[in-house]
Amino acid sequence: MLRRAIAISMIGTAVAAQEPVPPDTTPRPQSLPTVTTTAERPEKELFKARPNVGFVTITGKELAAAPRFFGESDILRAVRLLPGVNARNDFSVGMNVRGGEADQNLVLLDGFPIYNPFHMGGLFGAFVEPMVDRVDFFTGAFPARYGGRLSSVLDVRSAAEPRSGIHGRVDAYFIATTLSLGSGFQGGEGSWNVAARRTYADKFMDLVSDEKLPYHFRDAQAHVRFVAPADVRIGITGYSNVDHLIGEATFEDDTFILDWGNQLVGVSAEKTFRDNPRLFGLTFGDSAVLSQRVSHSRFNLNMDLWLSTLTLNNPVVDNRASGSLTFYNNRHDRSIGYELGAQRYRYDANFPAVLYPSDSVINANRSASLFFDDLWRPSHRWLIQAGARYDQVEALGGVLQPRLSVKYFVTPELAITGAYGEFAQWAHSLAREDVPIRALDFWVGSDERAPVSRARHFIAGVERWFGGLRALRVETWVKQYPSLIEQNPYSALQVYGDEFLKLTGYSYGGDVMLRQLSNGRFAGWLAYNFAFSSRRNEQGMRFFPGHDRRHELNLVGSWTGRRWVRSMRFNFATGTPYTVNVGQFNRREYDVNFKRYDFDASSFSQFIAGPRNALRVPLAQRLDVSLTRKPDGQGVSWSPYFSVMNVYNAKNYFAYFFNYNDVPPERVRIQQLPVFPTVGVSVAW
Amino acid sequence: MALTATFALAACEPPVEPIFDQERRILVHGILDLSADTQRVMLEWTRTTPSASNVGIVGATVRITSPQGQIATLAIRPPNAMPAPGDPARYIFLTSETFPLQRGATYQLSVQVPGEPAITGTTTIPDTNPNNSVTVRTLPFSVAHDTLRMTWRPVRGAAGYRVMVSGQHPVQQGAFLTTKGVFTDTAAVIPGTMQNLEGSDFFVPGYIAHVTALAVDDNYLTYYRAAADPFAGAPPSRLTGGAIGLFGSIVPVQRQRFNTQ
Repeated sequence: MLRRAIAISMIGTAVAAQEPVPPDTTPRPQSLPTVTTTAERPEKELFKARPNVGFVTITGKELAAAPRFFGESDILRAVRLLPGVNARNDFSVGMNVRGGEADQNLVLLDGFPIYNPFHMGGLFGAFVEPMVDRVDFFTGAFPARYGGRLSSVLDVRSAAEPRSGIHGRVDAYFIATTLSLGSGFQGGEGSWNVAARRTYADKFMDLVSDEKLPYHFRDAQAHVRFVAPADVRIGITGYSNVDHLIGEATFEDDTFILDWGNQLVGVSAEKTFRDNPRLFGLTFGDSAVLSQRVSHSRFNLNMDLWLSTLTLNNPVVDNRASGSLTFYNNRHDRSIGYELGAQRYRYDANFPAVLYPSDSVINANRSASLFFDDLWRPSHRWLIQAGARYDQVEALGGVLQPRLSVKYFVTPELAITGAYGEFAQWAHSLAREDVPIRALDFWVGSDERAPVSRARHFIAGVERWFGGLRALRVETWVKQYPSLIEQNPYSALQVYGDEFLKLTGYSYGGDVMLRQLSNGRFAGWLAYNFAFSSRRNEQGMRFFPGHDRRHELNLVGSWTGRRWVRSMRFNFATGTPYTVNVGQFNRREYDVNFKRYDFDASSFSQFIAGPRNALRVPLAQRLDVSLTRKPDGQGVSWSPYFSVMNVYNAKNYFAYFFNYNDVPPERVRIQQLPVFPTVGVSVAW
Repeated sequence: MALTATFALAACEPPVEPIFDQERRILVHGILDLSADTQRVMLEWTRTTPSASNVGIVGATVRITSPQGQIATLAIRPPNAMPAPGDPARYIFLTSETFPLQRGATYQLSVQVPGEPAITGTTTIPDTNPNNSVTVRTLPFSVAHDTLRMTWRPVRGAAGYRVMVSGQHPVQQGAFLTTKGVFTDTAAVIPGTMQNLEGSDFFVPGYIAHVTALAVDDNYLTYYRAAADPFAGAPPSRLTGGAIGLFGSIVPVQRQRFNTQ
């Protein structure tokens, strides 16, 4: 059409061309508007694909973006900022999840169990941050493939370096230095990652002083994955950590030894079968995944003070083998699986201390578990995950534990959830909930004197997504404990069977999480917990357990600018219960040799306790901030950081000691960590 | 790093506040010793301040009842003697004047302090005869090189056993070292260098060490074995009436004596 018009104008009076001009059909490039494609965030995908009641998945990067603790990115401390989790104080290894006791949490590394993953009596988590890809955290109603604990499952997943060539990072900060290395191979299907960390305050003291600092801790973590022949995907995880305190007492010529640590090695193998695989001639799905796992996990604690005046040992060995077969089709993901476990425990302490009892316990548990799980998608609005787990514990009987989670999509962005589950646990800690400092858990197994503990969870909730990066989740929950045990504070070394006291109880509450996934500028979350816990002892006396914190709020945020990342965390928490001491006395010792009374040979006064946990410590609040220079991502990049814990030095008291020896008697308030600035630097390549 | 440490140290001073509301309880120490003629029950108030006088409770009615129904009324001796400030009141009865204690027997304690609830307690003496050897040979014992080893037969009714070590000055007979004890089963191995948690030696060179292994009842074991626990408090008292302390019993099963060097 354009050609004809031009011809007419040029000729002026010329007539139209004799033949019609065919339209020009030569393909020409066209400019289209920009189309941006982004993958949906895993968190959103999980929202659509699974009920995930009480479940949070969070990447190692997001957790590391939270303000540092003593200058270090501490994954386990950051987990405590999530909804449903209450940490008693800065000096406690325990996590109380939705009203549960601190030994009710199953901590896994790539699905393999770890006991006591903490250093320095709870001040630091033992996982090396660069090795962490993400953390999957069930705060209740976990699926049937998980068992052995009552409250939660925390699965720390190792990072996998996707790039070929060796890449790494060095982090040097106030307490320690961490080195991590990794590389990808097999075109990204395989990778290896290793990391190590060690404190160096002891080495520093050797350089600058004649005094010795006889303490250090170190970690080593490794993960390898590759594709073996026959398309079998292999994963190998190794982990080792130790805290080491050995030295000479300054006031006597005695040595003292205190060390503890974990060792873990786990192997997984997985193979996918496609094109309608058959099992015994039957088809259950379009594809199937067969997986097998074995692990060997050890924990050991060894203390010997003052020529064996005080000794404490707690070796734990945990061997497991498990496997599952999962069939997938458009309606169902069906899994059947098994787990065989063998745990050996030994605990002996020759003198009671506040943090642990004097006792001697040797036991072992062997268990065989079967589970079945079906994720059913009956329509686009419903997700139903139903299953059951059966645990048979040798000599203790079997426990059938049904599990059910349901999600109903009101709209594609709004869902209502509900869950029910029953749970059993046959590993117990001798640490007491009423003691506000929890340096370690001292693990023993179940036997006739420490029966299997049981719990039931009821959960209902709502989850709403606002686009792809923001979500709000509100859940309410009730937990019933028909069978629990707690450590007997008066157990005797010579008396068999008095280590534990039986309890029953319940907890209920709710938690809210408003979460912003990273949009390149801001990421963070608001987590609010409300929890109410009550227990009853064998005498029928009701009391609030030591972890009964009613309200807790955590605001966590990190802002990414052009060069700097600013992070903050604000915490507000109401107080936990404590037992007041209403008096103090000294025991009169009867000297049978001379038939006379003497003051107690021990100068330790005895305390007269008031009603158990009848009072509460004051509320606590704290602000932590950190400032990190962004790495420039080119070759070797430096990233210094500065962080301040407890910016305005809030006086947060978590315990009281009472002294009736002075005039007038005194109450001493024990404070959490004060303001603490630290600096460090991270070098990556 | 120094600045950081300074901040930390400056903020670590624990604040202290006075306590004005304190509870006062009756504290009872009553231990029946099958090897002794004199049996004592000590009564006092728990301290509200360390300088409180008249801690000892006088004017109480203290009785011990035998399984046969015999009642011994304990009294302060000499009569009307007031305990020194800070000391308990000692209520005494002599088995030679009332009734002998019997192995395996159960005895009841009752204490009535004017204006206070009645206090009762029960103890069953371990079922064995006491080792009353008075001709125990004094053996040499080197603190640096020797280890004390003792074994004895189990005693029916004993909840546990305790080895008590008392030091006596060889010349000043009335000068004693604070007695030390360790709970054990039917055997004890105590090195010469053993110390208690305060760092006091069990055996002090130059002193005569009197060592006695005791069979103890459950009340005694529960009361003395427990360590000081500021979170749970002392073990629940087996005494009624809100009193704390114990009414227990012991029987010596083995004695030894050493010249400690």
